[in-house]
Amino acid sequence: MRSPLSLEVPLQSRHLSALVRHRLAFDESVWVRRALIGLALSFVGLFLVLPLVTVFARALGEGPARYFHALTSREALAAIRLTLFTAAIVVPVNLVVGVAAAWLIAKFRFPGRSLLLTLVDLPFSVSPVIAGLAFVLLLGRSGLLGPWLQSIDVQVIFSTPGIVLATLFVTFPFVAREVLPLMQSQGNDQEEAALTLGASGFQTFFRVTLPRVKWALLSGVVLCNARAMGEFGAVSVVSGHIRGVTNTVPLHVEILYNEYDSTGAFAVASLLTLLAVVTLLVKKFVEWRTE
Amino acid sequence: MSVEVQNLTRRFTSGGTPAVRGVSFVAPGGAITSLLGPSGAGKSTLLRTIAGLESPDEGRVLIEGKDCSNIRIQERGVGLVFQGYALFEHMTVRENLAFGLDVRGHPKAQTKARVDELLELIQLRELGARKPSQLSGGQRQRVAFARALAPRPRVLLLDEPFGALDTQVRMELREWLVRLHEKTQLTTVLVTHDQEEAFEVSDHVVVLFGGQVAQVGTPDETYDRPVNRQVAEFIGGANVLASGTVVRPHDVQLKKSSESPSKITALRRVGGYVKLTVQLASGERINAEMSQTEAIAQALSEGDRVEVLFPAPSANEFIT
Repeated sequence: MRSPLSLEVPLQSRHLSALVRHRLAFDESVWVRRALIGLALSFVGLFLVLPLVTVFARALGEGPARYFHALTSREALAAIRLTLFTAAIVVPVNLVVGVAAAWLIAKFRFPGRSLLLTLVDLPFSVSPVIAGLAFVLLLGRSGLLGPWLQSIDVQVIFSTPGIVLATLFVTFPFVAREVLPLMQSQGNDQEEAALTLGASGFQTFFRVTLPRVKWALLSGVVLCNARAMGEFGAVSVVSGHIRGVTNTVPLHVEILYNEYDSTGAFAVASLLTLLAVVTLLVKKFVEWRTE
Repeated sequence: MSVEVQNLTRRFTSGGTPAVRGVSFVAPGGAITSLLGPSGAGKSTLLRTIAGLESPDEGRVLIEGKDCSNIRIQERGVGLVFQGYALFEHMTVRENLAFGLDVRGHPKAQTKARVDELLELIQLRELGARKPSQLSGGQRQRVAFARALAPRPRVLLLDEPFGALDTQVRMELREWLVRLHEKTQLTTVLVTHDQEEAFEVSDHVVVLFGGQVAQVGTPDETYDRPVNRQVAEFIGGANVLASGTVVRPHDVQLKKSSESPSKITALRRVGGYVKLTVQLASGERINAEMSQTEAIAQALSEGDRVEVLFPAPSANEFIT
């Protein structure tokens, strides 16, 4: 049922027939649609949901007593403490630096701006293991800055500072990447309005710029936190795996698993899995709020 | 509280064509001055430079005779109303109005009283708790006005304030602006590309083309005595004949006459009047306007031959 495209046809009715055709196009592909949905759902089920369920099933396989025992062992608690400590430093630092970087890139024009933009993405494009290795080569005993660090008696590699540094590097892009596109799309109008109304640069940032990106910021922080707690590759290289001292939660899971203590490994892993679920829920909440 | 712009030049790329080139004018205190010109004429750049959002490459801005070059945006005492409103979307109407007072540390009670007063002024008393996204375009624009007025600026700057509104709301707000100005007597600079708007609300008009001032004067002066062809054509869509005579479309008189060499090549009704294009014997095409009543009385239609009568050219309307 096509309407002739003559000038007499009012615009509205042409829109209407376009709508009708649109609708028909949907109806025709109903089986294709169902097949695609089925495919997507079984893929998600097989590769995402099933492994998550397995983690909890194995963790609780030998009863809750064994589960809590694995979680409260001295070494597990030390690993949890170190992971929390690392995240407690990394997340605030990357929050502040990430917002600052996004703000500079989005709102100002300066020489080196595109270089900064590229550097923000660098940690995503470098393999975490290589990032860890770079820190070892730079700050390790025989590294570039090694002799100097030794002379002032500071140990970075195979110690907590190295773990924090490696995690900082790997998780840097999350906040900046979430906030930057939003700031760019928002333009400068409201900031300029604030300035003409008498607000200082500081007031403009905290009362206008920041509140407008708060949900993107929360989402970035949650992702940054999840990665900071879950990072394996870079941390593995710089940590040295000293039990009870430089083991984070993911490293502890690996050690337990390599020692054939799979219940223990899965018990500790379930903590990270829970973190993932909470992260996703917060992300979902943020998306729902910003709709 | 006059605003004076002296020999202002602003380039966006070094060495490139300046957006504003050697512009000078005075916006007298207590009056509404319009910066009128087509898009790309540098009007907004000029306004932003007065506000302090752009810094001039050459020249200076004086407010009340005082050089503003080293005065920060915050201290200039200007209220700027943006084309796209630029209301703070995450704040309520009340919070938007209070912003300019809060950041200056005014006492809470004083701020509240001022916000009440402003809500009264823009007749949105009931909507103080709404977010801007819950307002209509006209309401948002009124909030933008009130927000700019809140800190009692010395100068009000309006950047195409009615550009995003539909015709009827635009008309209402224009009248509202005139009444508001009568009450406040605030020195106002209005940027617009709409000559009707400029003529309706302003006391002075600065016509801009390509970043330069073409003419400064009262609305009547720029209409009756355009300094060049460009101004004549832009303002009122005047016909400039090969002889140099300026003829406004509504001054052209047409009489149906089968012997005439001139002929109507287009005729379109626009509500109460009719817009016509007439080809003269010389081949020149001119625009004419007449009331719908007159067009019906003469039964004019496309293709008709007409005799064209121009009013006696006044000395003022002669461009050399």
